[in-house]
Amino acid sequence: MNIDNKLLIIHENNCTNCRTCQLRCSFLHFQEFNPSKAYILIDSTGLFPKISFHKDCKKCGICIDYCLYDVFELVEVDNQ
Amino acid sequence: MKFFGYTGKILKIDLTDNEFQIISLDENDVNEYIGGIGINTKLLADNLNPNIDPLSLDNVIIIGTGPLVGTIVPGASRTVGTTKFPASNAITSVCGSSAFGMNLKLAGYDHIIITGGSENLIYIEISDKKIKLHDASKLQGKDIVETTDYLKSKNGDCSVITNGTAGENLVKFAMASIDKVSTFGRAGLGAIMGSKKLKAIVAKGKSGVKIAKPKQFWELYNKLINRIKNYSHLKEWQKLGQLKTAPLGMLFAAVGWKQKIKQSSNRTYLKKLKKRRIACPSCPIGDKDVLEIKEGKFKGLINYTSSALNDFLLFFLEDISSYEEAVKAFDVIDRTGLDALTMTQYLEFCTDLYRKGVISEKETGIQWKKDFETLMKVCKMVIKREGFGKILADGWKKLSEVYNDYEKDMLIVKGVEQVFDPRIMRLGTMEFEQVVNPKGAHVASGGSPTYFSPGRPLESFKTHFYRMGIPENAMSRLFSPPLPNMGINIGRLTRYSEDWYTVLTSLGICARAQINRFYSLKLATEFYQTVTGLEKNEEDLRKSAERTWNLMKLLNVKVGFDRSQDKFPPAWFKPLLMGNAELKLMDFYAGIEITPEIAEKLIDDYYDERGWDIKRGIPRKEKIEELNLSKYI
Repeated sequence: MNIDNKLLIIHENNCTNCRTCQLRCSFLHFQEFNPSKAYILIDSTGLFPKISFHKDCKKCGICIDYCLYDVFELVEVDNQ
Repeated sequence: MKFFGYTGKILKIDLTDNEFQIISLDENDVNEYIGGIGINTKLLADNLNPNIDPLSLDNVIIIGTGPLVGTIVPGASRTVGTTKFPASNAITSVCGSSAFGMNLKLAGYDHIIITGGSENLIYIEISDKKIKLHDASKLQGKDIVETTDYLKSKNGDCSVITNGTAGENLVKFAMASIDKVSTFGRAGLGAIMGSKKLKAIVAKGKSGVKIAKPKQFWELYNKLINRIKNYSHLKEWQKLGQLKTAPLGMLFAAVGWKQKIKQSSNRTYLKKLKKRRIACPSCPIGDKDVLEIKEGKFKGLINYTSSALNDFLLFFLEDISSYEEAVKAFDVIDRTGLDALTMTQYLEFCTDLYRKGVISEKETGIQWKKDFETLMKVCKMVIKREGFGKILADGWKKLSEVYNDYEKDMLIVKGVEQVFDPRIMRLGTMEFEQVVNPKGAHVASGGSPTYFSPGRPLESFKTHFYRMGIPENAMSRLFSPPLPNMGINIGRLTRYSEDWYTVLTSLGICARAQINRFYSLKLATEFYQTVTGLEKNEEDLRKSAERTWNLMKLLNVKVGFDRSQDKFPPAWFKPLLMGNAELKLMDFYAGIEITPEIAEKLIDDYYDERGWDIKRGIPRKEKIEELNLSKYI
């Protein structure tokens, strides 16, 4: 995923499944705390969570801003 | 009434008749008891005959959560279970975390009331789409990890409360567990589920939680979360969890257990065991652990635990000296729903009896040693209720009947073994509260600044006391202990530790020190106001907590709990021998040895601070009327 022309790297092994990203996302876009409505998707059925994004994700980046566990890293991309 | 924060609904499930009822949350109960532990206690008082056998179908289980749970408020993830417990016979509450509280809210309920019992093993599915009792015969004999994994594979994103084989077999102190990582219910919640043939409860849903004042809420949240993110120890906490707070190495060094220092070190945890961390919803600490043994005879073992610290506490058994054995033993205990503290104390006590010649191999089937192999044999015989294991499965009360002459050596309060030995950490509120709570020894409600840094300067306490909402007019009494050099009156302070815990647990905020240190009564009240829109002030919350605690006590008075049972275990007054060290029961500042007379005075002071009858140790009529509890006498 690209946000503001930066590449998003996801460190899934850092994710603790705290759902803060989903709670923040759902409130921003739907005015309620509801992980099932969040555009960031977390599959926690395996030993480590798998993170992906819904096709309607607005790429607003609020999940990145509110993450407590350094799961996301934005890297500058040299288009040259 | 339209609620914010609350769902406004209570689900009542009768397992005997397979009937469900949805009850509206009572506005007056919200007003007087807030939620979580408060409304749970009120619901139990209204639905339980106190004088029943805890393992009969007449017992009632209330599971509930608080108005802040399901929101993003940091650490607001508590699930509370309230019932009558078989190991202690007390009517009280236990807490767990993980995602059950949030999922219960998403399913559309604040509390559930479970009555009766099923003929065949079942599990309950609670969602916003349906309520259903499912046949669980294929889960019979499955452990906590197997059951949780199975139900999650069937239900997707959900939360699971389940018991293990110990609970199925009615081991009186068997626990339940939430999502494999949060223990739930010392003193027998797992056994109560077993008696009802209730293997598990699954909660899931898509009903969002709405709040009343979003603008003010986000101002509060952003300010708090920035404070947490900037806290200098946060990254260490996230890295080490509860190991960050427990000086195991120092303790083992002090008593001369050199081999155990390395085996329980942060390096061992990080290099040899740590797989990943798990957080409860909205928690910035993330202190649940998934461990993996990467080498040796237990290579490949994955252990889900509420903290690696719990595994390492098995090193207190004299002859457990390798991390592999500690983790393997804890994993067996945790999966089956046994209690690690009970099992280790059994091994200590029975091995001592064996060495004295009181019990024999012929009688018990075991050559008792404080080692891994013996622990595994004892776990097996307890879970299966075989031979001597049948006595042990009935708990300390049964053991004290059989070996009455040795009851004085048991480290138990009201049938539950100690969590905090004051000879190790000195007498703070955590240690003292185990004595005066009808629940007996436990971990949660005695928290205060005395938990950390024994011996810290007196003046540093006031800030924390104000934070906990202790009123100004109590301060002089808190700094008036039985003897001047004791600094703080632990008896009086314990009343406020309990009230602060009850505020947090009514709202749904975790009471663990790493979370509650960021909260004050003022901040908790502000979050309550912005989430619910209800104009309650700090005094209202404080009063509600006091009401809840008094109601809990009144229920226990009906089953015989009074001052006669609020006793320090006699063994606390003898030195504790650990390795080369001899540890005595000392006051918080380690200057004064606590005698039975000082202990009794502290208990007097606790009752006095509660406004209770000092001689009987129960609420006075005036206090009951003040709190509007007369109908529960």
